[in-house]
Order: sequence, then C-alpha cells, then structure tokens
Amino acid sequence: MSTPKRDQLRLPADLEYLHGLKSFILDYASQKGFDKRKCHQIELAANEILTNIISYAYPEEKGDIRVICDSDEDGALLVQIIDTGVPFNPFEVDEPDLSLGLEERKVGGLGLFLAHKMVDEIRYRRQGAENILTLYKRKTD
Amino acid sequence: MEVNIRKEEKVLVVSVIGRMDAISAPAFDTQVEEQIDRGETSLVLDLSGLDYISSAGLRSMLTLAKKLKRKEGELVLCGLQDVVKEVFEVSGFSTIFEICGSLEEAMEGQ
Repeated sequence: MSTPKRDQLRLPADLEYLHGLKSFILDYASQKGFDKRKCHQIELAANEILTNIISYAYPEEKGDIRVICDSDEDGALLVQIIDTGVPFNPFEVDEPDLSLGLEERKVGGLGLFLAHKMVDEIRYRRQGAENILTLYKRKTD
Repeated sequence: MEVNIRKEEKVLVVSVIGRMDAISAPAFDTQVEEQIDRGETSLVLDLSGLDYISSAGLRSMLTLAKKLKRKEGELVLCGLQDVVKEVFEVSGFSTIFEICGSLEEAMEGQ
C-alpha cells in the first residue's frame, strides 16, 4: 500500500489551536514555493474559514478540525478544511454591501467575503456528517 | 499584538503592533474603549507596525469608527503596510475611513 502524499493535521476546533492550524497550512504553501504575498492571502483565507468553524460549527459539543494540504500538477495549492459540525454552506451567506457609508455599514459579515477574495476559488460540499471546504490558490496570477 | 497609547496635544495616538485577529482584537477593543469612556474623541491609529489584519480586526475598527462618529469625534488611520492596505481595499474600508500615508501627515490634519 502506498502512503498518500498529502499532509494532514487534526486539532480541536478551539481558538487555542488556530495558530497551529494556520502554521501547518503556511508551512506547506511556502514549501511549495508560494511567495510572501500569496502566503499572506492564503493565511487570511484560512484564518477566516477556521475562525468561522471555531465560532459556529460546534454550538453544543466540542469537535475537531481536519486540514489536508495538497497540490495539483500545476503547482496550485488545495487546502481542505473539514469539520463535523452543523451543516454550513459559505455560499449561502449574503455578501456585504461595500458601497455603504460608515453609519450604514454593518459590523461583521466580512470574514467569508475576504476569504473568497484572497484565493482563486472556494469549493464546498457536505459529505455525510462532514463540511468539506476547499481553498484553491494558483501560484501565478 | 501590542497596543501603545500616547497623547499628543489633543490627539490620542494609538499604535498597533503585530497581528490583529480574533485572538488579539478583543484586547484592542478594551483598551480603546477605556480611552473613549474617559472622554477621548480624537484618535489617530498608527498602523505602521501592524503586519496582519483579519476580519475580526476590521470589525474592531468599524465598531470604533461608529462609536466615535456618534460622539462627533474623529478617527484617522495611518501607515498601513501593503498587506493591510490590500485587506482594506478589498473590504471597501479604504473609502469609509480617513487614511493618511504617515503619522506626520495624520497629525497635520488635526
């Protein structure tokens, strides 16, 4: 049996582990040759998704977050972020209205929007008891 | 994240150093709120030492700006690094905040 080449990490969904989860993704991205700016964008996208899961996925009992890093033949990065919490489709969230002024602008609701902007693509699927969210980032613009 | 606060004439200069995210943003909120409760209404945020901001940090800044606006106060941001600038632009914050290039420039306008 061959060992999968993907890198995996599983940690409890708690703010305490946010840094560890992010470092894991960032280490993988820089190993694959992503530059500083792109690493920052990947970090921010991952941060928003992870923070969201930590805050909302497990309202009652505690759970884990699993991160799987992979890259495709073009060198693009694929980060799967998986939880077994309440079903949550990030595409069903309303986008913030950026045209509003200071007084009208709502506080919050920016996290997922930022995540979408920082990577080339976000995919979501619910599979069994899992929310599987994939961040896709190309190495070149 | 480190927050340094000093008073220059009538302006409160708040320097934010490090990373502002869901973990560190609450500390910023507490420190700045304390100052506003004391009656400070004119603030300059020096972000030249800030190398990372997430939506939690943006949320803190928006809350602060709204609070000061209600008190007819003033908030000016300055010294944004490129990565922070990018986040501000993407989220539309560049147009709702008053942003100066440097601290000197921000102080001149006061």
